[in-house]
Formats: sequence, C-alpha cells, structure tokens
Amino acid sequence: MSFKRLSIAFSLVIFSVYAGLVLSLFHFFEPALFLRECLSERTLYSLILSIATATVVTLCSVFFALPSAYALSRYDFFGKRIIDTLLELPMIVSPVALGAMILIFLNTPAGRVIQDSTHLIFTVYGILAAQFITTVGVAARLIKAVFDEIPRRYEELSWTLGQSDTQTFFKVVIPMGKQGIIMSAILTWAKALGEFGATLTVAGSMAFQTETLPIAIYMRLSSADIEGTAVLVMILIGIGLGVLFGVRVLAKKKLYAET
Amino acid sequence: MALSCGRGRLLAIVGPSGAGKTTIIRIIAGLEPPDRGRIALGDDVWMDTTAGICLPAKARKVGYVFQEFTQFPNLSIYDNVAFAARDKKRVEELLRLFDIYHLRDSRPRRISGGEQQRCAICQALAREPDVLLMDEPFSALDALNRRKLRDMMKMLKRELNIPVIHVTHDIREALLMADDIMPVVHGNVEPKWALQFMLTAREFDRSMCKDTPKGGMPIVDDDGDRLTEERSSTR
Repeated sequence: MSFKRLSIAFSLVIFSVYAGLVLSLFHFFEPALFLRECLSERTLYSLILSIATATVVTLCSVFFALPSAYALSRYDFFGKRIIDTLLELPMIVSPVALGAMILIFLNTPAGRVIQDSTHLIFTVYGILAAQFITTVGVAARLIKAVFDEIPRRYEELSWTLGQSDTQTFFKVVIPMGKQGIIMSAILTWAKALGEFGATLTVAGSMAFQTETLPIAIYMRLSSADIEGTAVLVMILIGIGLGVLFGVRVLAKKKLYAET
Repeated sequence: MALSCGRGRLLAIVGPSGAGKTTIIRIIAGLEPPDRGRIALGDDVWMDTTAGICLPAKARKVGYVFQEFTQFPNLSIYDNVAFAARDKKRVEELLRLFDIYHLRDSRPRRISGGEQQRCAICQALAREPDVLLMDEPFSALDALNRRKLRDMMKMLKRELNIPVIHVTHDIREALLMADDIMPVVHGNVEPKWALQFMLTAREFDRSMCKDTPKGGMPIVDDDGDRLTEERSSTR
C-alpha cells in the first residue's frame, strides 16, 4: 500500500469515529420530539444564552488577544516565556479544574472583593467569566500564529513611510491578518459555545438562569432522557458544523491577504 | 566607517553578499540599532550614541526601497503609493512618471517584478523623503527592466536633489549610476576590492563603457575622500 493510501486510510478512520457518533444520534431521532424540543422555552433559553455569552466572550477575548498576540509575536520582554507558556493553560488543564480554580480564587480576600461587586457565582456573569478564562488564551495563541505568518518587512516598510507602531498595527498588521483573525474569532466562539466544565463549576445549572446548551445536554443525560439529549446534541452540532463550514470557506484564502 | 552623500548625488555601496551593505542603510533608516556612531542629515542629528540620541524610523524622513518586492499585498498600486503621501496629485504624477498609472487599481501580486519595483520607488518618493535608500532594488529584475530603471534613476537623482544611497553587489551597475562608490567587504571599506575588480574584469562589457563619464568613476575611502579616479574602460 502506498503512503498516500495509508495516510488517507488513517484520516478515514478518524472520520468514521466521528461520523459514527453523529449517525448514532439518528437512532433516537423522532421528528415530533425534535420539533417540540427545538421550540420549547427551556431549549430556546439555553440556545440564546449560549450564543449570547459566546459572542460577548469572543469579543472580549479577541480584544485582549490582539495586542497580546502582537507583543508575543514581535517583542522580546521580561516574562515573555512565562506568559507564552501560561497561554497553554486552558489546553492542558481540564475546564472543570479551571472552574475550580476560579471558585478557589473567589474565596481569597481579593476574590471576595470581586465576588461582592460582580456576583459571579451562580449567575450569568459567572458564565462569562468561565468562558472568558477558558478561551482568551486560545484566542491569543491562534492570533499569534496569524501574526507570525506576516513578514516583518511590511511593518518596516510602514515605519519608513512615517507610520508609528500604533498606526502600523491598525493600518498594516490587522488588515493583512484580517482573514486569520476572523478565523481565530470564529474558532474562539465555537470553543466558548461548547464550554461546559468551568461554566458548570462556577455558574451552576439553574434552568432559565445559567443553563447553557452544553449544560442542558448534561442535565438531560443525568435524568436518562436519551431522546432529549440527542435532540440538544443535534442542535449544538448543527450550529458547530455551520460555523466550521464558514471557517473552511475562509480557510481557502491565506491567513494574511495576498490578493 | 564613515560615509557622506550630498544632495543630488548617488552614492553606491558595493560589495559581495554578506559584506554588510544592507546593514549600513538599515542603520541609516533606523531599522537596526548600531553599536555606536552618528547619523546626521545636515544639522538634524538622527542618531548619536554618545549623546543618547536615536530617532525612530518613522521620524527619519527616508524613502526606503527594499530588495524584495515589498508592497502591501492587500492594497492596490494606487493605495500603496498613496499610503504615506500628503499630496494625492504627487501620487498620480509619480505613477505616470514611472509608467504604472494604468496599473493603479491592480494588486501587487498581479503585476510584474519590474512594475512592482517601480511601484516601490514611487511609494518611497511619494513621502517626499530627505534621503532615498535603495537596497539592491534591481537585483531580482531582468536585464531590460534593470536598464530601464537604472536610466530612470540616473535622470531622477538630480531632479530629486536629495542624497541617494544605492546598495548593490553589481559594480557595473554602480559604475553606470553612481557619482561616488564605496566598496564594502566584511563590514569595512575596501577600496582595493573595487580597483582590483575593475582592473581584472576582462568580461566588462565595452558597450557599458560608453555610458560612463570621461575620467572614470571616483571611488571614496572610509573618510569619504576620493581615493583615485580610475578609467572604467578596459581598453
């Protein structure tokens, strides 16, 4: 067997695993139940809550990630390696552990001040905090990769044309990295949408309050409602695949504009 | 080393690859910090390590033409040239002068290398710089485009009335374009390198000799003084 066929075979194995899991959802698919669940108030609340919090968190994450990623990509400064390593924290530590760390912090003197003023625990603000902490590092890492791809000579050209560092960042770097930044934002949004462990730990699972779509799936499963669980998973997958399809379309263009 | 270049004159820094030619003009432009030294344009001191002065690149009014074709790929040719221009009329004048006005709506990727370098020169000149620095701008071009741009720069250097510093590894190009030549080898000025090259360059094309002025081309040492005037012809 040639290497080409062997490598394609491996990719088909991975595809089969995920396709099998998705197809198994249809074993419990009932059209009437699907429609009833989609239109139920509780599901709609969870869906809107998930989309809204994911959107707000993505905007905040990208806002912090853009300058941070640029600093990590372009500058040498004290503590750079530590910061660069800590960006990996959401990826190496389980979301539940991150949620636990948030709760532990909120029980420290400094944390109590924040909790008293923002009331994070068991509120929507807790969802935002949990999702932000799990996604901002990922956003910075993705956007840093975009900036790493942009040759420095374009910034040097901008400087020789009289532009300051700030002007160069907004007039050269961001426009050139636009496609990649949008892709990074979309992937951050998808991660925030699917965030479960930290959100459940910090904000709890109160219906019509802090029950996001992933938490609703967990609650249905906990009560042995397989059909309901399958419906909610289908909704989440539908949104996720729709987003990923958009990413694939954008990914046809390079990370930085060359046209 | 020390170098100087007057208004309306073109100084060619010549040397083999890795000699430090590009480093010199990057230091002048403020893109790289030197260990020590002084750079001044007339009475304006751009950098003086002794006095602790170091203007950033954006504050030094230079025009820099990079070796690689470096235009912003997401902008049209017109927008590239107009990027730092204060006078839009000047943008159109430059585009017409360098015969790329018809390409103003195109993206850099869609045009030829010669056209891209013309765009780069226009972009550098649109800012009305006080010094023009060119880093082997013609090295990636074919012979015809090199000749066209060389002739254009020879014509323009007096009109611009600013110092022009041109880095090249091609001594023939330097002989054809420059008022002064500074040969650099391993970061040092080595006049003998250029002399030896000219004296032993049997392959020097006689037709090129017709373009060189009578009396040959002055070669400067590291004090900026003319070392000797050598005939560039091998006759």
